[in-house]
Amino acid sequence: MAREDGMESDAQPGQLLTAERVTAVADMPPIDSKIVPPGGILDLSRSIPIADVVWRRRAQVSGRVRSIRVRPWGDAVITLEAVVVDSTGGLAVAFLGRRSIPGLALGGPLTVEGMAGARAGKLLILNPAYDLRPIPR
Amino acid sequence: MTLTEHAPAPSTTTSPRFTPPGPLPPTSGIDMPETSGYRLKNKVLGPALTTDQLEHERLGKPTALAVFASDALSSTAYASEEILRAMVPVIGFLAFASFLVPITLALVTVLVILTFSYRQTIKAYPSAGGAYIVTKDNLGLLPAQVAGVALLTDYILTVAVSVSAGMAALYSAVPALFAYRVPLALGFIALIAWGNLRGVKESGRMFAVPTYAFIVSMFAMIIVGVTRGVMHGFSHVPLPVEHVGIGAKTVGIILVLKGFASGGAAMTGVEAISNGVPAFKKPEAKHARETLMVMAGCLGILFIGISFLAAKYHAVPSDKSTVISQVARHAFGGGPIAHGIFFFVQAATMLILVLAANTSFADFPRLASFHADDAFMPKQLTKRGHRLVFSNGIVALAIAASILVVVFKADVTHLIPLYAIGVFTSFTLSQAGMSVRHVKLKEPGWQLGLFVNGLGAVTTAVVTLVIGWMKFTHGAWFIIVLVPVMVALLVRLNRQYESEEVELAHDVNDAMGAPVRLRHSVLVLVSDLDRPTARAVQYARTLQADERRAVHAAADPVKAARLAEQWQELGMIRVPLDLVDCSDRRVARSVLDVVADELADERTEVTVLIPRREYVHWWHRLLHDRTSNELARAVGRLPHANVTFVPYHFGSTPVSAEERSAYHASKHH
Repeated sequence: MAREDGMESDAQPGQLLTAERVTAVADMPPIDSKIVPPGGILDLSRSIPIADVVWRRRAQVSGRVRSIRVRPWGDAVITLEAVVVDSTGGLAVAFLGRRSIPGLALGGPLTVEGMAGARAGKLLILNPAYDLRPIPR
Repeated sequence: MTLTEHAPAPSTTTSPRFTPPGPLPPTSGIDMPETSGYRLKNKVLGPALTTDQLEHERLGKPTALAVFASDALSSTAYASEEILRAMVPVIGFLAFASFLVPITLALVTVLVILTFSYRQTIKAYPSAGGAYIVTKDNLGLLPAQVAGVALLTDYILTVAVSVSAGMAALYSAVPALFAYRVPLALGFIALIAWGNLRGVKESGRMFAVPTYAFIVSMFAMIIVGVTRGVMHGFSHVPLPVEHVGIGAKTVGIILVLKGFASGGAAMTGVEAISNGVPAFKKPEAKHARETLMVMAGCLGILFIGISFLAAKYHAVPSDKSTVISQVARHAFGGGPIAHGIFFFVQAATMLILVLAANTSFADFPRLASFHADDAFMPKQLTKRGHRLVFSNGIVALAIAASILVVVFKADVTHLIPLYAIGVFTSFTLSQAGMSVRHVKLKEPGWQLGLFVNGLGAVTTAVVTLVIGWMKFTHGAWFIIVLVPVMVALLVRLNRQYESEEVELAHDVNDAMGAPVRLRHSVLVLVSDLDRPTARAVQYARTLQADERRAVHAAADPVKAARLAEQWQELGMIRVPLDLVDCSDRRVARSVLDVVADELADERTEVTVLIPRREYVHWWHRLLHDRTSNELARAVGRLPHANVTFVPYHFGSTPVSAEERSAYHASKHH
C-alpha cells in the first residue's frame, strides 16, 4: 500500500531518474545570464547536475518542470508534487500544504534548494526553497 | 418442528442491499450479435462445423475415387498426345507404328511399380503416408523438405495446368471465349477453392459426377473403338487441315526418351491417395489401398486404350483438335447419335481437366499443414477453418495457381514442361525412404517390400533424371532452381521458429517461480473528463496498488488547466491527476517518460490503463484517430510495463433525446 506518511528514510533510496529517458531540456532556448532578472532567493549559478545529487545532502538543482500533481499525503496534508528534470536526470519535489504555486508552470524553469530525502524509493526534496527565474546557461 | 422441515424461504425484503443468489442464466446473458463478416461467411460457406464433426468429414471409396483420381485420370486426356507431340514432328508415322504403344506400356510399367510401392507405403503409414511423412521418418527433415516442396510446386502446377487445359478444351469448342480464357480460368480456380472451403466431403460430391462421366465415356469410347476396329478394321483419321510438321528422320534413343519424358505427366496424381489416407472412412488403410488399385487400373487401361486407338487411327496432334477428340470422333463414327456422344465425351474431358485441380486442393493444404506442423511453414497453415478444412492452405494454393495462370496467360504449352519433375522427385524420395525403412525395421516380409520399393525408387529416380534432362531447356530448369531456393527459405523460416521457441521455453520453471516485483503502480491515461475516463478510474480503484494516479499529457496547456480544475472540483483525491509536460505534443513520448520514472527503481510493476471507446459500427471508428492503440504499442515496449484497455461501449449509457437536442441547441444557438 502507498506510504502516505511523509518523509522517510528508505532502505535503498536515492534512485535517480536516468538521463537517457528524460526528454531533453536542451530544447529550451538558451538564456543569456545577463538578462536573468535580478532578485530571487537563490544564486542560480550554484546549481549542480541532478545526477550528482546525493541522498541526505543539501543540493541545489535547476531544470524544467516535467509534471505536476496535487494529492494528500496521509489523511489531511494536501501536497503539491512536481518532477524537475535536467539533461542528467530527474528529481521529485514536494510542497506540503499547497495546492498551487503561482508561476510554477509545466515545462517552465524551476530551481530548488533543500535536503535530498527520499519517498517511495526515489530522491525527493521536501519543501525546498525555490526560484522560478529562467535558468542561465 | 422436525429436522427435515424446510428452512423458511429467505425474505427478499430484509435488506435493500441483499439479492438472494440465483442460478446462472442459460445463455451468457450478454447480447453479443455476430459480426456481419461472420454472417456473410456463414452464408457463403455454410454453418460452422464443430470439431467433433471432423470424424464425419471422411470419404467413402466412391467419393474418394472422385476426389483423388481426377488428377491422375485426367492426364490420360493429354499424355498420349504429349508423346506424339514429341515424336511425330521428328519421325512421322513411324511414331504410331512402332513407338506410341511401347512407350505407353513402359509408362504403365512404371505405374504398376509405383502402385505396388504405394501399397507398401499405405500399409506402413496408415495415418498419413505422404511423401513428406515417409521421407521425414526415414531420411530426415531436410530431404522431407525437398520432397514436400517438390510436391507443393507440382500441386500448384496441377491446378494451373489442368484449369488452363480445361479452358483450352472450352475455347476449342467455343472460339469466342479465347479472349476470356484467363478470367475464366481464374473463375474456375475460385469456384474450386470455394467448393473446398465448404468442406472436403461436399467438394467430393460436387466433383463426383464429372469424374465418373469421364471414366464411363472413356471406357465406352475404347470398347466401341476396339470392337468396331476388330469388326470392320481400323481406318486412319483424316490429316489435319493445317500444316503439321511430320518428320522422317532416323530414330535415336534421345527421341524415345523425349517421348517417355513427355508421357510422364500421366503419372502425376498417383501419390494423391497415399497423401490423403486420413481422409478415408475407417479402416483408412484398407479403403485407400483398394481405391488406389481401382484408380491405377482405370488409369492404366485408359492410357493403353487411348494410345492404342491413337496409334491405330494415326491421330496427329494439332492445335485445332486434340488427339483424344480425334480418337473419340473416329471411334463413335458418324451419325447424329455418335455426334451427341462425341460432345458428351468432350464435355466430360473438359470438366475432368478443370476439376483435376480439385485433387491438389485436397492435398496441398494437408501437405502444407504437415510442413507447418514441423515449423517449416507459417503456423497459420495448421489451422482448421470454419468448415474444418485447412482454409489458409486452400487460399494460398488458389492464389499461387492464379498467379501462374496470369503469368503464363493460361497457356498449357508453356506450363507443361514445368510439370511432372516435382512429383517424380517426391516419388523417388518417398520410395527411397520406404526402402530405408524396410532395411531398418526388418518387418516380416521385408525382403519383398525392399524389392518393391527399391525398384520403385530406382525407376522413379531414372524417370526424374530423364524428365529433368529432356525438358531442362523447356522450363524444367525453373523447377530445378526453384525447389532448392524454396527449401533454403523454409529452413531459414524453421530456424526463426526454433529460436523463438527456445527462448519462449527457456527456464520456464524458474521464470514461474522468480521473485515478483513488490511495488505496483497504476497509471490511468486521461485525455478528457468523460465517461470512458470515469470507467477507467473506477477500475483503477479496484486494483491493489501502491501508487495510483491519472496521467494527462498536456499537449494543450489550456485544456490541461481546465482538466486540472475539473479534477479539483470533483475532489478526485484518491486518484490525483498528474499533469505531464508535453510541449512537443508527442503524447506517447511523455507517457513513456512517466512510465519509465515509475520503473526506475527496478522493483515496480506498472499497469497502464487506457480507456478505449468501443464503437457500435465499424465506420464510427473511422471518425476518430487510433491514439489509444499507438499509446499501447509504445508503452508495451517497456519491460514490466503492462497495458490494460478499459472499454467504454457506446450505447451503454441511456441519454434522453431532450439532452441530445439541448446540447445541439447550445452548440448552434
